[in-house]
Amino acid sequence: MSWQDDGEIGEFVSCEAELGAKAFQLPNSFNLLRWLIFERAGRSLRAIASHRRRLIETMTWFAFSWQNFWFSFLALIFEGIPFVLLGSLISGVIAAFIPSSVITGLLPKNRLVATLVSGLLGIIFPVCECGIVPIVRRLLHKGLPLSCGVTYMLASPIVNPIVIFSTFFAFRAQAPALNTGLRLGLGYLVAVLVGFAVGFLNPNAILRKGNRKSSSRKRTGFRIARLPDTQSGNSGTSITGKTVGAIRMASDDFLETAFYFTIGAAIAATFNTAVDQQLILPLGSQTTLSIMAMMALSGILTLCSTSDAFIAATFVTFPMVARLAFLVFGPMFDLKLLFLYSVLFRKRFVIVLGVGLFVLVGLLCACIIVHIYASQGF
Amino acid sequence: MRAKVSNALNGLTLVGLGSVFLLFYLNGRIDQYLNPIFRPLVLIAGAGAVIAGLVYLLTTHSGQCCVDGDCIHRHINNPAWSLAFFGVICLSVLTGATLSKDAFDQKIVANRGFVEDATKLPGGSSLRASNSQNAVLGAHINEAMSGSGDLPRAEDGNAALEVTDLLYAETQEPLRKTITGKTVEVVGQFIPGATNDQFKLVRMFMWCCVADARPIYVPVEVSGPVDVSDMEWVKVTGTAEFSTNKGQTHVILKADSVESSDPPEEAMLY
Repeated sequence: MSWQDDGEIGEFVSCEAELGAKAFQLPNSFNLLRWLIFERAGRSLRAIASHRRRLIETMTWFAFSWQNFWFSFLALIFEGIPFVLLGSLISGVIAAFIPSSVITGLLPKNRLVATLVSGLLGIIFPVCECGIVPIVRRLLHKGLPLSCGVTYMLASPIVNPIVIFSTFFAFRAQAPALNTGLRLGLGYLVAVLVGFAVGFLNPNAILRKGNRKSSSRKRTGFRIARLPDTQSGNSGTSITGKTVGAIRMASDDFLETAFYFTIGAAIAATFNTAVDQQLILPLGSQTTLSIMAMMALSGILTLCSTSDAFIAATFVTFPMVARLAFLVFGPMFDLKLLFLYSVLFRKRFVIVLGVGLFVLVGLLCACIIVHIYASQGF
Repeated sequence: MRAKVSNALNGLTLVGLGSVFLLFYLNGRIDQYLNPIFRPLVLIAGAGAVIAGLVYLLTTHSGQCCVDGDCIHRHINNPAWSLAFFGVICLSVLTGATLSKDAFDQKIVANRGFVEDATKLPGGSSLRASNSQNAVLGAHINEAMSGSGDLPRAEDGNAALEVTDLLYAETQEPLRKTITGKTVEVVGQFIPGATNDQFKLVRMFMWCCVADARPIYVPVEVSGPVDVSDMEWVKVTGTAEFSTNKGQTHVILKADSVESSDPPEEAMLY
């Protein structure tokens, strides 16, 4: 799609204005009325044409191509779907083979400690942002407190060994230990803060129907309560029956998650290929603007957390703190996650979560992290 | 009846998606999309989706995921939703597989901008840090040199290099010395320069998949206008010259000939 002014509106405006001018020379009231109509219509059309021209000028940043779209879309599908499938399989296995008591017994009883521990689960169970949603949904269904689920969901794409290694490798010439440490620390802090905040909210107001439990169980965001297991979870059926059940549940999880993932990938591919990414380069000179610009870019690019550090490292005109914001915000919220989170949460909460993460990561980077970098000479 | 229709559609969605994955892996098209380390996952995911689809088609919904009648999968037995799953997941991927040309056009170069600093490529800075040819990461030149001690050769005897090799050489003196003075052949895509006697020889460099690919280039000097279209694959034969300005070394390829070429086996570098 290329935005070109075909000139039709401009010609039409000239024609109408000319008619209006001729009418002005005629003395009777009918023609005066015609003049008023044509003059006013002409002005309106001129305004519309001017507005459209301005719109066209601003749309030079957007150059859509089907060829690029399909290429990028399929790449995102091929890269992300295996992880969605893996997450769904883990979810199916949890549903079929692991009783709720094991899930709830894993975490400390103290709600604060449980949330803090949840942020570190990615080190033991590393799952990227594509696969984490079905797992968290299943864990919540098994009785995991919402605060712990949200903390694990947000932290796992950052606080995991694969991402630690890739970040260190990508920044190996640019203070790798500092950048990797700050990414992990900030990612963990943000996930825990959001987890705590969510714990004070009513799960029924956040979770979509089907993901939340009936009020008779009186679960709150923090409370750890063992739930009744599914029919296959502890009903003593055969291994074959449980395996088939696990595959079916994994398939169901996969279909619902992949549905939103595909929509997100399509929108991400559009922006990933059509938006002129060089437009943000002038923003690199101003710290606050550069932080916001890089977070917006990470939301648009929808990169996998295992590879985003390599991309961030190439934006050398941006301050380090802006690139850190890119590395923390992107794995927690981007275009595909906007849709993927809809599997689990209500739409309103997804939007609030996105805005909240943008503000929180931005504030922490602009107010605290920037000073840490400054003290290290960056 | 509604459950059976949903079951069939859901099973077909999984089998259809898995088949596309398997097909791309088996016919090699996946090589244009993903870094090699991710390609086996496509095979595994394809096989897994086909198996899951067959299990789905051959079994029935048992409500195993429900607790007290409260089901986690609310839409799974709704034919309208199953049709939506089929359309969004399976048909979109099938359509993409049919229409995709497995390559970007020139708009992507304009939109993403060039990676100007070779040290930001994987392996680039480690070259500079170690100043050793053996530290070349990701460059095919290293494999060839470690075997024969010489640059990799094209059929006509010229040194066959990649754009990345020349960019890595900017940061490593021994490699520069090896390349300087030799006739080299480099394949890439043509992007016109500001004047007729120069152009950019472009390759896309990807980290994980083409969604994160960014263009890199070597500037080429020619004696006159080149009759090729934008983003057309060309083979440049010439010599690489290195100049140092303000402590930074830059490469320029002085072309003896520029001719149209078939795309390389893998269009992306990584």
